[in-house]
Amino acid sequence: MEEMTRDGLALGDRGSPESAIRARQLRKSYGGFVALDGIDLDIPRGAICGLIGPNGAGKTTVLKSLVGLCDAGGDLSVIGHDPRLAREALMQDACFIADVGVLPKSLRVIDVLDYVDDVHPKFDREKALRFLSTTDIDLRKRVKALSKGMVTQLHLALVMAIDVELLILDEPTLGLDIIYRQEFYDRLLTQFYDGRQTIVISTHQVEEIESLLSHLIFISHGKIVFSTEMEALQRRFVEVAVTPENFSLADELKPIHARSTLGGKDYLFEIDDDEQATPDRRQFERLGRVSTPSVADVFLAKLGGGHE
Amino acid sequence: MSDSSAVTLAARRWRGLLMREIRENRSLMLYAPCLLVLVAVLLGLRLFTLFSVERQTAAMDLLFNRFEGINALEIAPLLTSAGALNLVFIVGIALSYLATSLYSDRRELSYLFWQSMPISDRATVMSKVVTSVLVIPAIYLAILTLGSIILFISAAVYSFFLGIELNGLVELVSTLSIALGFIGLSAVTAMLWLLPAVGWILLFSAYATRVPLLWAIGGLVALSLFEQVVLSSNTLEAWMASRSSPWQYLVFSLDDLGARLFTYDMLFGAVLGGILISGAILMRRFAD
Repeated sequence: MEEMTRDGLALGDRGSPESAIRARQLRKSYGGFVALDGIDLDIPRGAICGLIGPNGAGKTTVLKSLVGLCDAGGDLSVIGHDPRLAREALMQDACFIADVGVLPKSLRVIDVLDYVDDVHPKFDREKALRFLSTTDIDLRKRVKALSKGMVTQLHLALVMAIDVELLILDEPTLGLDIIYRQEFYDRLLTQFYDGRQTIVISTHQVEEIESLLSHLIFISHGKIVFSTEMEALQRRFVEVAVTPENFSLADELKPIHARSTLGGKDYLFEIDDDEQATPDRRQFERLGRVSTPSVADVFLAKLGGGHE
Repeated sequence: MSDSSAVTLAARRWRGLLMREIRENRSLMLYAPCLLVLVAVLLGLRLFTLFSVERQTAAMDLLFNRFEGINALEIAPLLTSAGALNLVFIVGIALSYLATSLYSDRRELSYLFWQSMPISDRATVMSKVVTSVLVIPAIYLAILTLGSIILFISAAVYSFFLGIELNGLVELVSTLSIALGFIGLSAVTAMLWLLPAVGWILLFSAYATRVPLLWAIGGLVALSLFEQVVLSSNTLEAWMASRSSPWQYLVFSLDDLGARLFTYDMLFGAVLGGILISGAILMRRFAD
């Protein structure tokens, strides 16, 4: 992925073997509804990429396309496979967690383990059992008897025990309380990710995954509206807490977003590559306290309609 | 990968696929046959107790001594015919299972979990076919055999206390075993003959958004009515009727088995079933 891109592209080293995911003009419609409107993607191997967008933006359709569960048009390569033609081969090296409710409810926990052990050549049963032994999950219980948090723990145990190159998570912590959500991401980072795998996460709870991400993609109405590396995001955007006497000066610097706060406004500025076109950082410091904006702030600025 | 490890992997995968079907359908595949066999055993015992001790003694004497010296292969078909009702149960269980087999995981969204495993849609659908044609008859037969053994041992012990000699024991066991084997073969034969029905139901199970069995039956009725009204013929109805009697599938010998399996009608049914099953695989693929 290129350091900074705009206008609906998330491009990097086109067609490079380093790309875990490469898509060109990915399209999908349901009847008259266009879910994906010509999306291009390049996600490098080893990246932890957040796919952020409002409800109905097309996040799930993108993720389902990546694992061959949705018949999207366009060019698509996921860790060297076309998921539409070789889903079985792809899923030997990729895992997908759709959301917390998808494990088969009628099976016992041990049955699920047995099944994955039988059908997945890269599943390490002992590793899954070790992980489960650190939880309160009873192996003889049926999935429907587990709490949402436990189901997620079970799913995570299965995924972490599979030696995969790509992990795709679609709202994996939806409906969980904050303790389970935090534990989920902690374990993902400490017990699964070792820098070799590529992880793509879609979520509404941006603030919870912000610190994990190396790459970021904003999607809206089936199009990518913005994408960047996280390091670049920090260089690229500046948030300034401006007091009322400096509002007019701040407005002259063309903020991309502003929101009222107690006693002032927080202005968000985007610094272009062309330094002639945008002010020096020191100019911002004269306006007020300068900080790095959160992903949620940038998201609101990019998708929320701009200036207040 | 060596050939042997590829075979081991494939065998494990199929074990996983078939065990999944059994584990997900315990009620239908295990508990329902157990209940049926238990009811049959209890009814048999209840009927037996209605008779006087003299009549019971005579019946046990007949059972254990009438078979002495007989050819088990000649007598077994009688018992097989008596067990024809089991075919109705087996086919009923299999078709009920098929109706929800590709539907229930879509309804509860576990479809996304199953699809996240390295298993093709073809393998998934074929595992349903194998389950209906082989696994369900095998499980039913195992439960039926267990019930027969319990009933047989009870009768032998009771006869022993009545002072009846068990001279025809070996022949009786042989006859029972052969009859059970024929019932098993008949069940598999029936399911193979019903491959068009298997494919038809799977097709609706893979795509219907609710009550797939109703859609499958409704579809057949609609096609049949269409033929009668538009073409003024009833070929479909007659063809379905020609495959609806359990008696026609009863196998009484290995020659019988060959005669029922290797016919053009069977071949036609297998091809039609194959086309419908392929349709179900495609439906599964696009049911997102």
